[in-house]
Amino acid sequence: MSLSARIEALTRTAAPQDEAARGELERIRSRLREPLRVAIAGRVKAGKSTLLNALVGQRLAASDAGECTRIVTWYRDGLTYDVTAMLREGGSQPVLFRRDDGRLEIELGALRPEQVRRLEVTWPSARLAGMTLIDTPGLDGMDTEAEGRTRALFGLAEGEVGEVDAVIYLMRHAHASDAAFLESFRDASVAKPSPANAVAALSRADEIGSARADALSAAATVAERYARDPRLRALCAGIVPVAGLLAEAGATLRESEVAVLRAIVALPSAQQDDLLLSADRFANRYAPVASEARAALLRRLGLFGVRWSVAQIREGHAQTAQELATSLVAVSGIRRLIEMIDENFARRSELLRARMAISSLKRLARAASTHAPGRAFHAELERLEASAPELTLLGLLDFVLSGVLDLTDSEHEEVLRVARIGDAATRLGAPAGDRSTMREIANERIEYWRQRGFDPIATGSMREAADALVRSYEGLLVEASTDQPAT
Amino acid sequence: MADVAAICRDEKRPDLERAVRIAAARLARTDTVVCLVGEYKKGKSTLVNAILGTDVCPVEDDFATSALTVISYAEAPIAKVHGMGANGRTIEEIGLERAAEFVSERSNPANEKRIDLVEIGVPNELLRDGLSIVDTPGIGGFGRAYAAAIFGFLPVVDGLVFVTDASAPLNAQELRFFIRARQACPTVLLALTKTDLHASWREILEIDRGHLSDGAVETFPLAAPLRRRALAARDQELDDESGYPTLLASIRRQIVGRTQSAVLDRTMSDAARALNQLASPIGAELRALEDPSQGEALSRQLAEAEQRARELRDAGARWAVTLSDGFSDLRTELDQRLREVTRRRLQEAEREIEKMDPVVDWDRYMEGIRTQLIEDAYACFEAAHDAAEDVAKRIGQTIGEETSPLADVRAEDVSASLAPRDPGRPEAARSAPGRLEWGLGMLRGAQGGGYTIAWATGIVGITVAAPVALGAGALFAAKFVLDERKRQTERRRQEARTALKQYIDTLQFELGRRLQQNLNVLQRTLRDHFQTRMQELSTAQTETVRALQASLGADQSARKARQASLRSRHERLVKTHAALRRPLAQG
Repeated sequence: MSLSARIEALTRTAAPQDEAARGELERIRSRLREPLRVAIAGRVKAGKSTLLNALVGQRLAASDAGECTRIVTWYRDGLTYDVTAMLREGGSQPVLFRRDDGRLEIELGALRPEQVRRLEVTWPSARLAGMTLIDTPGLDGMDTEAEGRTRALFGLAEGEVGEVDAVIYLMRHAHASDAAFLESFRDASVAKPSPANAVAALSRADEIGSARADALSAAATVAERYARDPRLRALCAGIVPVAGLLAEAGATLRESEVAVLRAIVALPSAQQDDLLLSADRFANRYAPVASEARAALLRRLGLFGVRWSVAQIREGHAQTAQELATSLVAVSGIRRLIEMIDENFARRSELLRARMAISSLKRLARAASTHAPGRAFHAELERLEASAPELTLLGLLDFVLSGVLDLTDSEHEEVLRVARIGDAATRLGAPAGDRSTMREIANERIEYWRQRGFDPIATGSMREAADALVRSYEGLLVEASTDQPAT
Repeated sequence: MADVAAICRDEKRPDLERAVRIAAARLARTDTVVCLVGEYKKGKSTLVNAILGTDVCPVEDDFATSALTVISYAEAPIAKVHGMGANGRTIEEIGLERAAEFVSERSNPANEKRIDLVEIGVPNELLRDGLSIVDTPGIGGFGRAYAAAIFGFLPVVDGLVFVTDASAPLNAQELRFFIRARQACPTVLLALTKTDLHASWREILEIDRGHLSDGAVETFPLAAPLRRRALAARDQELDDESGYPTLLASIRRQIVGRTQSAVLDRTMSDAARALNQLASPIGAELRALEDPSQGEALSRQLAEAEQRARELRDAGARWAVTLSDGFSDLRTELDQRLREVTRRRLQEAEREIEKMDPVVDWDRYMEGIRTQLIEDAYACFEAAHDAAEDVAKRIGQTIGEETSPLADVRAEDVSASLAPRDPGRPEAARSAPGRLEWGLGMLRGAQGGGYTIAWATGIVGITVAAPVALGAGALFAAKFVLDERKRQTERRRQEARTALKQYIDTLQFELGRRLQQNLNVLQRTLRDHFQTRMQELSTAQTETVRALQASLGADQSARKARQASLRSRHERLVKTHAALRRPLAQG
């Protein structure tokens, strides 16, 4: 029986005291069945909406020069296209929308933004089937009310319960407020979200170092340094550079746009260089290609994107929209981000939701602890928690990522590998199918971590971590020795 | 000014001649300090390099600036590192090529080398007239204490360029920083960098202007790559497109120009004072000689002059006492105040520890304490300057009565007529020259003393290790015994308290030392200043007494000749004095 099925079965045994508790139980159950909720957060203009579009592969969220996302917006998979406003004082109301030039335009009509708790966009999309994506107003902007909505969503405000299972955090450079947000997200939410359910992206990577030709490799270097920074490492599972604009353009590029690029490549090379010197020149200078078309292209690709695309076409790497789109997506770095999301969220989806459910249930049980059934329920919960090795492993992962253990770099790597969701060989770092090597590694590591735990100067938490690792390796050893997974 | 110097020479007053020549030199090369501030990674260092057309400040994709960098003119490239050693301030000369080691986060993260500032001299024509450009560590990165450290420096700068970029509108933090910076230094220009990358910079600029609508701020869209290319290709049109010439012109007009007029003001009043000094004995003798009852008048004048000379000698004794007493009071008072605030902070911080788990919150917590302490210390330093200003004013009063023997043209009138009449200038700025004259401005004028002002950036680098030695407590909530967890947290708190105490002690010691040093520089500057003034005054008085005695002893015809020569000398003085007003009337 799967973990969430066990939790759901357990909720059926509970005898809620009142209407509110019954509602809460129902909410927890339905959330267990729902896809994982992943929010995209960051400071103002970090490129959140653009990234969301890139992930979904459609231009759903609006993005322009100012602070434009003012309402928390959920994007769910569904059978029909639909936009609903969830109102602050309860209830909901359908909202008009239309598609304009590929973009989704939402019209609130008579509704004022402050009346709306959140917008729900239902959109049939394979990309949304596995997880619900949530676009949020930026932090640290001028619109403090919009920021308040974001904080409420994450459960950062007083008395709020977080509604989010995991977060993709965007930052342009590691700003003190970025760290502060991730820290408070880790501290505040009921389920204690942790490094294991936060990933970070160094966004707008194409603009690093004045959008030079090697901007993205420069961004990769920066991201690597941040990933090693103990302060950031304690707050998220990893940091990768991503150029959201390039990824978005790659996902939605049209042949007409590539035609404009080809017309530019056809110009004398001195004129091309002159145009590509600055955004203003590209959009406004006299050239035989229509100025509006150039300005539109610049909005879609950014100066780096335009320079890069021109170079691609000029050097013959891409000619059609299809080819250019492929190379834009490749250079944008979005693949690595998707891999990281997949690894940390999608594959752990059930686990993360289960942990969220357990902590919500515990809160309920504590509230009812004056009654014997409440206490019994709490004990049941703890039993369930202790008997799920994957939960222990997730806890261990948080523990290690948050940097409180004094581990060597290779030990750190090892824990990340073992805590991965996957087959035994990958987790052991052994060639697939090579059972004897797997057993060998598992035995060797069991011995190693036993020793580490017995070390007289080891701290209590170190002993605990070593213990958890020994048990994980034991599980893997069983897996390697039989055909059936241990669990 | 050359005329005034010539008169001083003719009147055989080499001391005054020297003073006038120094004032003239100051006019020729006005020290103007322009400071770049803003959030980190907004392109401040790039902006400096683009202005100068050379790579002076290290610019990297990743690492930001971590120390104050002052760039000014020098015949040959040079770099000096100012810091605080065991025996007081240290200045180490390094090659320009090594400057990056101290300036960039790469090799000096969070300014752990604890330097106060790096001074760079380059033979750049734009800086020849005394313009200095200060690059600052940006705010907002890890290490928020920088912001507090920079504010300590702002009162001595003549103008600010607030740097933001075209990628996003000003955020709430930047706006708060902007407002505070403008309070510290009213002349602010807003530079919008990276406009070459962002087609929507005009919209961003409009949004920014909207946020700053309370005070009209001049804004400058800039594109450094265009400037760089324009300078290389000597392409004037492209240079104009980069926006840099407009910014430079505005720095010249608004900041350098304003400082120059303040310096002109001061130079004129120095010259007027020199003339007053010369006129004092001549005028007294002339008046006595022109009096019908010459003999009587002469002896009365002589008696008065002797009386004044005596008073001056007494005042001379008094001012030295006022100065040393004033400063020793100040030392005790400020030392106590510093102890008081650090003690209070320590108590607050200890209460805070009770509420937290040091493992999780340590860095943020320490950052908060550091920021607060530096702000507290800033207030102490400010108080020191205000108090020093008071002492200076008191001394000025005791000797000030003697300075205007030329009845018709007083030094104050000259300075008043020379004061800039700029209606757009806010009140705070108008009162600034007075403050500069006596307080921080004097420090800046003092040899190298100005940099004592940059006391706080070195402080930022002082750190203390997080108390994680005992290891973190359990996050495995279910299994860990509650008591054990409590016990561990308590142990970590104990460790945190020890670390905190040690940190605050170190910081208090270091701040105390810097405060004392600052006071020393202030006191020395004031002493030198008044010593010179007293010397001038007493020479003038002695001269008067001697001249009157000579006249008294001379016969009628000698007196007539003397009177004629005195009158022509006096006329020359009055004419030169009146000429001092002219540059203003023309400008």
